[in-house]
Amino acid sequence: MIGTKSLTEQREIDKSDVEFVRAVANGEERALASLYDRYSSILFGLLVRILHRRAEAEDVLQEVFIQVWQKAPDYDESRGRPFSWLVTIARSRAIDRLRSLDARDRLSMAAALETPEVASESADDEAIRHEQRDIVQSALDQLSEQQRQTLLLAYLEGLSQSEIAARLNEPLGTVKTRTRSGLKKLHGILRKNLDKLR
Amino acid sequence: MNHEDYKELLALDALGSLDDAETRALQTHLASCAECRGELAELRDTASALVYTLPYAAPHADLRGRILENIRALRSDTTQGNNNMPQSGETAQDTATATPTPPISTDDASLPSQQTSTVLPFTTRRREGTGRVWKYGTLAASLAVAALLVSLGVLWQRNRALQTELARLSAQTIDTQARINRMEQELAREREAEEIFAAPDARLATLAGTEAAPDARARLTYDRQTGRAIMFAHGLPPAPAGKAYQLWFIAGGKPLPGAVFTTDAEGRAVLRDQMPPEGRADPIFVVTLEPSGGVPAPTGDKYLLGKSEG
Repeated sequence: MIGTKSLTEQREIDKSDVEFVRAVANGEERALASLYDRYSSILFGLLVRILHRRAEAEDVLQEVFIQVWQKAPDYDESRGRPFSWLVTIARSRAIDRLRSLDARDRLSMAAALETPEVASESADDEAIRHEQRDIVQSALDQLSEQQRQTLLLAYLEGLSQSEIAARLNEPLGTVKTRTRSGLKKLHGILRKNLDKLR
Repeated sequence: MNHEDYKELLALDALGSLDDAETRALQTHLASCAECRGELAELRDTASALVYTLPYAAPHADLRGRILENIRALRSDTTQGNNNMPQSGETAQDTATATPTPPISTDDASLPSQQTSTVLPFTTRRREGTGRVWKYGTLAASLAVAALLVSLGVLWQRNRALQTELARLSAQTIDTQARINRMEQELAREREAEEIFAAPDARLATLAGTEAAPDARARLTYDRQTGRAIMFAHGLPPAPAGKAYQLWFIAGGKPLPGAVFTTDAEGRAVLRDQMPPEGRADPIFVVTLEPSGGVPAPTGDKYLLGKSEG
């Protein structure tokens, strides 16, 4: 059954991620290339979502991997899995880039809304990705509409809590409470399945 | 702030949503609270899982190579610098003695492209009575000269690395500029099309295929004010060599010539055109097959025919 198979594989992948990051900290280029091969499309997907433009997203993707190279020695396993570390770097770089562009650029970027080229992948990878997506999506579906919305706006769109409050026309305190309770609830649901996710 | 307050900050930190002051305050607390560190790690892993709901996207194929090149440029910088840190088990001693320093010269050809270490081996002091001061003097002088030569070598390498980087960045800038130009063009075209569709006096005409092309269809949107038009056609047979399709606006009984176009491999065409002023008031639209390059008056068979729905 694919679920059981990918569970064992995922554990192995997680362990090897940590080894890759350690190797990068040791100056091994090939380890960085391996991380790129494994995670560039998922990180690029996030960058395109936040930045709406391929050219910007590609610039930022380069910055991300350079930062990975430089900061690998600082990676601490006890603060979260390597994937979370990569995503945090990607998000920060993207949001910095987003904030440095002026308002006019941002409007035209939102209008451009390009559909990015979907990455080609093996049938196995695709199946694993669908399973991961389904696990997270069905967990998200168990949150209230408002909790889901604030989480996605904060994390995947890169909006600050104040920006979310302004957009939804809600008090800042309410938004913060929803964000907190939403993430905690999601954590509770996903807890059992966190092993299955890279 | 008490412990509960710090715990409240964890979820927002995991989502990257704390402001600078809050982040600093939390960092200070985390330094001494294992419970919060553990919970933060789990919340971070939960947050990053959200990324799985996004579609994957493929960056440009050459990005991988560019990143690795950048890394190499960075590496040759850091090994040139004061990097005496031992790598994986080697001691500083090993690094100093194991890697020989190559002869320094200003001749380009003799310098290796990758220098792994510029640690200068120290010569040991010899204790010998009267000659000591003189020997130390010479030693100091030769060390100074050697150090200067090493710095020269270091600067030379750095310069080469920077030149390479500059060349790379220039190439990238040209590439990026070309991209920007293309995107600006595309954007301008998209805006033009939007303006047609959104115009207050916009009209839609549906064209149907004639016996020559019964499956052909076209939708043509035009702005009566500006005369700008955009047409999406499909189902047209490919034009034979030397021929092309031409759009006509029939107004007041007279056919006014419009743009000439051909279809893609799938029989589709997107056409932007500018209608003459006399032809803007709800003409009949006709597409005929003409010699490529177009003609002032229609000569060929009709393929598409239609007018605005009102």
